[in-house]
Amino acid sequence: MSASTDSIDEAGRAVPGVERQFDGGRNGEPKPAAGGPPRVSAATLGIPLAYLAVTVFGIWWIDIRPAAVAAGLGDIGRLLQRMVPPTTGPVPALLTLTLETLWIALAGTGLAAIASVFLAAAASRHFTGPRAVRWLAQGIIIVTRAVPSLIFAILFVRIFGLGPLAGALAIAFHSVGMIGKMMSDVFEEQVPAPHEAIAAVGANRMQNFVSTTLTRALPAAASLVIYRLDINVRASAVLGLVGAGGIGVALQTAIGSLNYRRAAGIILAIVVLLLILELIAYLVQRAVAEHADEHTESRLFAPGKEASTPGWNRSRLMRTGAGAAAACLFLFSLGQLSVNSARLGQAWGNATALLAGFVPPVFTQDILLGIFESVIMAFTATFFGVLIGLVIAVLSTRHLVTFAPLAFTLRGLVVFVRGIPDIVYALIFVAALGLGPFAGFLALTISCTALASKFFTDSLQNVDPAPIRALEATGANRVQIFVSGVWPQFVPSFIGNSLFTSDLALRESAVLGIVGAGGVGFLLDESVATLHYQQTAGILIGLIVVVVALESVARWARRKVI
Amino acid sequence: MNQKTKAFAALAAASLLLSACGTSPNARPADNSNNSDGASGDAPQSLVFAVVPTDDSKELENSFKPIVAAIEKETGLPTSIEAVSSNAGVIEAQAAKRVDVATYGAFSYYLAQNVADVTPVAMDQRTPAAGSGAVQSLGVVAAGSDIKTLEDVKGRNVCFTDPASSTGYLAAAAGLIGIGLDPKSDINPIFAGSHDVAVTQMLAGDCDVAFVAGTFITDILPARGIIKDGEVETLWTSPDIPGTPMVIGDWLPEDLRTKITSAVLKYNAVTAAEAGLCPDDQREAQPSWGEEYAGKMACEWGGTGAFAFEPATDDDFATIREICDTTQAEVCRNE
Repeated sequence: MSASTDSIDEAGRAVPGVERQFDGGRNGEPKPAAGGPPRVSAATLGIPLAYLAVTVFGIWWIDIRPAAVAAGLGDIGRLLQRMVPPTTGPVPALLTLTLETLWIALAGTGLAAIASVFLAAAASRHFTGPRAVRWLAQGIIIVTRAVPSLIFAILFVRIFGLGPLAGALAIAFHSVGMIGKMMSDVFEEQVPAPHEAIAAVGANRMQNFVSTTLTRALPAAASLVIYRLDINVRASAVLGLVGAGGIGVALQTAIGSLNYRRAAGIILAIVVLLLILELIAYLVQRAVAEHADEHTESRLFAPGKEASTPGWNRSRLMRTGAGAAAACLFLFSLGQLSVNSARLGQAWGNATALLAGFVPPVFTQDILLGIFESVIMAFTATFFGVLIGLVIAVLSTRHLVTFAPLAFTLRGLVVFVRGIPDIVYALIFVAALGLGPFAGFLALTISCTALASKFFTDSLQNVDPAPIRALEATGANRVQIFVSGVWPQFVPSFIGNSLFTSDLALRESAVLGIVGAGGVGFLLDESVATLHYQQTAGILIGLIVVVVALESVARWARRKVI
Repeated sequence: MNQKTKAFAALAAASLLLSACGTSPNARPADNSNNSDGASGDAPQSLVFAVVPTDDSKELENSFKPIVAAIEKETGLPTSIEAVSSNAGVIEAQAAKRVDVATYGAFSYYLAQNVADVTPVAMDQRTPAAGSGAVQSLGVVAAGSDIKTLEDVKGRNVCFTDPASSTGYLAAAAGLIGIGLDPKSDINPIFAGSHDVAVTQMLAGDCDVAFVAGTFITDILPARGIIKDGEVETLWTSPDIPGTPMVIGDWLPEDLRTKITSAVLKYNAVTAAEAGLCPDDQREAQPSWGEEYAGKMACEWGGTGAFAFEPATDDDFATIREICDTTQAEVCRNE
């Protein structure tokens, strides 16, 4: 096995007693003898401990007191009463708004997905091209992720003018960071054997990438892109900054004018849309699943006439059909973006004039404090979100819990929780607890739970069921199966996704501003609203530093546990 | 365990230790939550002052520190200041009687009075002249535009800020209705999301007219070099829209409400500085404050850089109700 792939050995990390240590052999220690207990790597123990440490500090710092929530239940009740019954207004108008948003989100997500395939391939550890290309790709992925779509929006509105094009591009740029990162993680997690086999028969890099890496990444990549579409629909309030309107703006206006019944109606429309997307994601995942599972087809292709040509079977037809349908929808959504080519002439001047305002970046004590606040809150919220999310994910995964109604109910519930915007949770907790970090922490914990349970469910779905079936055959009980058959396979994505949840929570921490808990999101909004772009630049640099730090820890952990 | 793990364990232990001693910087007095029973008789042990950014506010929290200092001095109660990005956040906290004093835009007050027991007691004043806190909405066009009067706006693309902004939409909509134009169907409204974008995109040709808060045209955008002299012509100016109200919760005991009000009204930016309410953060008096204050040092007195606050009552905000009655705007309707 080549040096670049030495730590990726599926069998080795999964089964105790195999001659392999979890430490990845970095310090060159002799491997433990066969039959000895597996070594626990620094990452699997250290990262949870680090989270625990920050959480303990966070609990003290936020002044978490559960009793206060109980005291505020009456206020929560009074607020909820003002949200029912939901009113939708004229349904066709609501539907138009929803579709408008969906097209823009679809165009933006699609563009991001296409760009991400190339960026992720180049950023992956397995990329064998020039180092500089890999670093560039990694840099683009980190910067686009760290920079909130708000910033892309104010930039693109200067370049392309008010309208859906600027909105779609703002969505696309910010989405590249997440899709690219997660896709390159998926590429890295793959077993290298097929890749090496295809390389051995003389395929070039492009052929090899398409036939081994991309096809195997398809299930995870498809659900990832659909999930990002889901996020982009929910985050569509940013379209208000480019004059593109849509359902997110309508929701923001309804909440801002305390018209909660209308807000509830709009949220229901969003939840229905998200449920449809979740269903599509579920069906797609089953259709392209890598592993044989109940009622799924493990063979991607039927045997063709000749050995070298894959034939058609039902699942290949469905895959191709679904792919074509997705492509048509994407092309149609691109057609909905009105491109005004006359504007492009003055675009450059406008953009540079705006960007010139960003230099020199200004760092103030407030910015550093805001970043500190956001990081503490994001980590503490992640800690609780990950714990709850893990339970939900385990209960809603078909491999692990055979009671299907529970799994479906939980998945539906998570979608519902996710469909309600952070600001609504923030308002509910503000009513109960008053302004301050505690209310913000609770709102952030709910969004972290939704994020984590989604990520965990998706990666548990992709767990190889073979060890589970084998353990079942030996008479192991459910806990034993989970500990020995599932957990070892799941650890890399558990750690990676937990860190990534913090990464996303850091940017969602704008919700803290709603409850007066400060944080970097509040400062960012304030600096943009008051046109203090030099401070905006300082905040962005701070965010990038934190995201790079998180990413470095994640990469280190992945080297240890994959 | 290897060394790294031990280091992490040490870190965990250290943070445990740290937490064990000392109170959290965010610790809140326990009485904050018992306000909600509405018993206005028992006096609170502390106050919460919430502020929301308005169009032209900056360094929100710091700029209110002298005012909070005045309130603390007068009432003897510790007062915490919360800068909040959303008006709904503050209003819901008020509805639950968990914010005692707040300042926000006049339209937010219009929304709040429907759901929370609050009363305006003061409003900001930019110069020593009474009523100088009022703001206007301006309709602006690019220099040389063929649009000369408000009537010419018919059938054109019009940039607004957002549907819930009084200076960026509601006042202008009322103005259009006043001359017989329907702001929904007789023009093509575009909501740009913010005042500065509405103006820059109007200049870039995305729309023919922009309606924004006057201060962006007269002060903020020229100061930032975003609009240059003579680039923008003002087509229309709205009637005065009341400035930033300061509202107090009715659940506080009467004498406490009086104390808070008088604390705020007692000083202006200059006398506050003289009284030592902002020892570390002083600036020179604004030229617009006149001869009397020229060259003196002043406090930052609220988010809008006000000269002082003047007494206000609910009647001072009738303008907003009139605008809402005229426009029948969606955002004005309450459940």
